[in-house]
Amino acid sequence: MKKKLFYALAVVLSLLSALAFGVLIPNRAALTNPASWDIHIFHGVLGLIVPLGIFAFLIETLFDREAFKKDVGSIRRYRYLLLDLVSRDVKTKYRRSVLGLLWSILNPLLMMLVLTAVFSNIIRVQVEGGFALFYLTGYLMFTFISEATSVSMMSIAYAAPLIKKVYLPKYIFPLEKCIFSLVNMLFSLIAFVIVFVVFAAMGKITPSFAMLLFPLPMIYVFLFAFGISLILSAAYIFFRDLAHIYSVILTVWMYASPIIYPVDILPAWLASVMRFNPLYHYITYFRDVMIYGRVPSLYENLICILFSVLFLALGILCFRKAQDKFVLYI
Amino acid sequence: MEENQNNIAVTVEGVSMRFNMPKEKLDSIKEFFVKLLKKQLRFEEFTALENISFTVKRGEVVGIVGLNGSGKSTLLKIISGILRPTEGHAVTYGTLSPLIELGAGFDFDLTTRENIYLNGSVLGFDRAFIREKYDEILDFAELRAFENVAIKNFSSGMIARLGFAIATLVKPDILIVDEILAVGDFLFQQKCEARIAEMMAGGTTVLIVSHAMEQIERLCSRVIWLEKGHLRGDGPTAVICEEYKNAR
Repeated sequence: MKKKLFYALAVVLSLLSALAFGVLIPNRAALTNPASWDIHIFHGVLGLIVPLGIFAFLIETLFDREAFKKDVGSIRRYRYLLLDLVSRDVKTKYRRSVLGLLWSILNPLLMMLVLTAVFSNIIRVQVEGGFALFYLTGYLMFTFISEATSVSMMSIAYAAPLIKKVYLPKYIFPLEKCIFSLVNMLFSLIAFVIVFVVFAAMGKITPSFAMLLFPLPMIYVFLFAFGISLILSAAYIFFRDLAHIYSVILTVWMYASPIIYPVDILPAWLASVMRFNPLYHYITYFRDVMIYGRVPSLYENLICILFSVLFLALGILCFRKAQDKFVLYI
Repeated sequence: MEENQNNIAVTVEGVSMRFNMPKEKLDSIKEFFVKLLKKQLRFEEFTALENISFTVKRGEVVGIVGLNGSGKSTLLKIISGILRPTEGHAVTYGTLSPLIELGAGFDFDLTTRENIYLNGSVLGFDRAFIREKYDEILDFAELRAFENVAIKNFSSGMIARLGFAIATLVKPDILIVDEILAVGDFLFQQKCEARIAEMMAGGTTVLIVSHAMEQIERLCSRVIWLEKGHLRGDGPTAVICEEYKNAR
């Protein structure tokens, strides 16, 4: 009963914030950017969903403080397990391959060569700073998200023998897969550094201090991916079809994100739809920092953070609701 | 409550466990909706445990007996927190080591050494602590010669030895043993029993599930008898064991 009251209050507050963000704030932004109606909608939607998600998370946590305490307390106890699982994954991923970890660097480099050959010679996509680095940054971000989420999705199901026999906090498994993917991404970042150094030596690009900000977009995207992973790994236990659907979704998502094309080639209406794609914000942020030497504004940071926090809150919410039933379905 | 915690190790209060057994396993959304529309989405409810209550005092050694399918393992899983009961609750006071299945969390592609660390962290042990106890584990499991061999090449006895050695590394307040002493040769079984006896002497509360009545009679001071998910008997070993044997 009390819970319903809280939810009602949350809905009212979220509607207010939707109004505030949708109507008031874009007016100020419009001074610098004479955008059209679409930014109002974007802000309105964001102003509605984000508070709703956060409020739902807070209310559920408030009413189930025990579960919250248990989850937080177990992070410390099981930190070694987390490390061990990550190092096991790194070891087994490249076990028996001759080049081993080097593949994490070679793969993006080879992909970049192929796509650069296609897109700057045959299809001729023009981007600032050359296609190679442009593609590589988008590729790194997208590969991280797609790898982290799709591997995490199966993580609970694969951990079935363990979950059935010992008590473990279940979120360990998707979290571990996300960290593992992050480690992979850091290795792949070496590929970026190599190409960047080559380009800088050729005088095509100049390094800047903005590059030091690179951990920020990675933290944002990590939290975002972790949230999605929590939702997917929980849902996968109940609907195994998800694995097949998700690979299609990922393909759609890839083409719907500015990885192989810049946003400016899109028609105006598509560019406004693009705003709703969180990946667009992360990739743009990453490129600004890594290639163009631009320090993203507070506004851009805020958008990224809001998306990350929203999905993280939703993820924890769904996962916590479902986790007690996992044992019965795996 | 505080006073209670001083001499009570496990409280099981009104625990019921019901599983929904779908008549056919539904594995897709489409099937789910089709069945939902046809109203065929019926579950057969299976009651594994029905309103079980008991408390175990600190230092007691309790045997749990019952035929196959009487809910013994389910009960142990609820006590160790792996399953959450449909109704009621089970509370444990103090650290708990479940020996429910040895070697849970072994990765068969990794070596003995790697698995010791991995399984240690599955059980929530500190890395430094395992490093310190590393030799002791190898010696107890008698696997020093196989330190760097992937355990997929091991026999089931070797794996059980390794699992037992890691799981009994610390003296827990509560030890839960499910049928595991049935593996390994008699020498190793003796070794395991010696270790369990050592823990019992140190005041550890023990819950044992076993079909070996002789073992129960030797180790336990109290026996809980489950039959088809109901509590059929709870009392001193001699009395309950006699009843149980006669009932067969």
